[in-house]
Amino acid sequence: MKRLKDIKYILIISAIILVMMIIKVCHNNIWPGNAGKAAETIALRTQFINMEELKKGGGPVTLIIPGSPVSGNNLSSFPVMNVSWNEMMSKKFLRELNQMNHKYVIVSGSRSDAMKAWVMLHQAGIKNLLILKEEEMNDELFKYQFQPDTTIRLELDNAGQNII
Amino acid sequence: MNARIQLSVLLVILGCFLVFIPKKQPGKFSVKPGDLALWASNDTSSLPVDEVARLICNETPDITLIDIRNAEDFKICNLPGSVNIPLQNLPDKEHLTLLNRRTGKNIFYSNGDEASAAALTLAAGLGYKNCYRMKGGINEWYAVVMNASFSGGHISAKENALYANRFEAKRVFTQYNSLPDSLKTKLFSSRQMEKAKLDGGCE
Repeated sequence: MKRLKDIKYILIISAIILVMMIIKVCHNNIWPGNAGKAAETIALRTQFINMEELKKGGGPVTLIIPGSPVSGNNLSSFPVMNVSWNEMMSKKFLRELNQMNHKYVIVSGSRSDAMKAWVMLHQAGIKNLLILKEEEMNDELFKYQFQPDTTIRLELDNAGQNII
Repeated sequence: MNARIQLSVLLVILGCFLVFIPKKQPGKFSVKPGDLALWASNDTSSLPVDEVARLICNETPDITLIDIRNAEDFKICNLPGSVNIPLQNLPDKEHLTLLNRRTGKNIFYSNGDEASAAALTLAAGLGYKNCYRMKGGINEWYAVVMNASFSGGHISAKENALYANRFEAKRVFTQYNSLPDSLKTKLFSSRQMEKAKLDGGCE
C-alpha cells in the first residue's frame, strides 16, 4: 500500500496517458478519403457531369457553389448551397451533406476552384460528388501542336566541344 | 530515487511521446480542415505563366517543374527541366522526398487548369510545403509565350522587359523540345552545372 502511495502521481498520469492513447487510436481521421483514389478519379475524369445528364435526374440533386455565387446557367430548378471555403470545411456543413445523402454537384465559374472544392470534399468523405461541366471542351486537352526547330544545333563551349 | 519510480517516469515520458506525435496515415490528408480552407481561399500558390518563364530563363536552381500529364503528352513537349509525375502517381511514396522538401519550389503544371489545381490541393492536404502551380498550364504557355507578339506603336520599359522574357522563354522551350529525348536532360543539367560554376559553386 505504501509503495502504491509512493507512485500514485505516476499512476494517475499513466492512466490519463492511457485514456488519451485509446482516444487517439479510436478517433477516426477527419479525412477518410484516400488521396490515391482521388488522383485516379481526376485522371480518368469521371467526376464531371454536364447539364443534360444533370437534368435527366436520377435522385435528388443539390448544387454546391464554393466561394462567390454563380448566376444564370438554368440552375434555378435545383436546390443551391452557397458556401464560403471556411464554411465548406466546417463539421456542421459536412455532417449536413452526409445526412442528406443527395447527389452533390459543384458549380463554379472557375475550373480550378471547382476542382479544389471537389478534392477537399472528396477527401472529407462526401459521396456522390460531381462537378458541373458546361462546355463540351476538355480543358486538359493540348490545343496546340509543337513545331520542332530542325535547325537547332547543340551548343558549343569555348573549346568548340559540345557541352553535353 | 527508487528504481521503480525511475522506470515509471520513463514509461510516462514514452507514453507522452506516443500520445503527442501526429498520427500519420499514408494517403490521407494530414492538415487541419480550417487550415486547408484558409489556403483554398487565398490563391497565392498559382503562378502566372510569365513568372514561370522568368524562372526558366534565369535557370533558377531551386525550382522543380512537375509535369503531371501522362507520359505521351510529356514526350510531345514539356517545360525545360521538368520531371514527369502523372497525376495518378502523385501520392505514391516514391515521390515523397521530392514533394516534401523544405526548400525550393515545386511547380505543378498540366495542359489546363483543372489537373494542376487538383494536384496542388492534394499536395497541400498531404502537408507538402512549397508547392505551386502554373496558371492555365501548357495551353496558356502557348497563348502567352509561344504566340507572343507586340503590335503597339510605343513600347514601355516594363513591356519591353516582359516581351524580352517571353521571347527568351520561347527560344529556350523550342531549343529544348527540338532535341532528342536522350539529350534533353543532359542539356539542362549541363546548363545548371555551368550556372553553379559561375555562382562559385562546385561541380
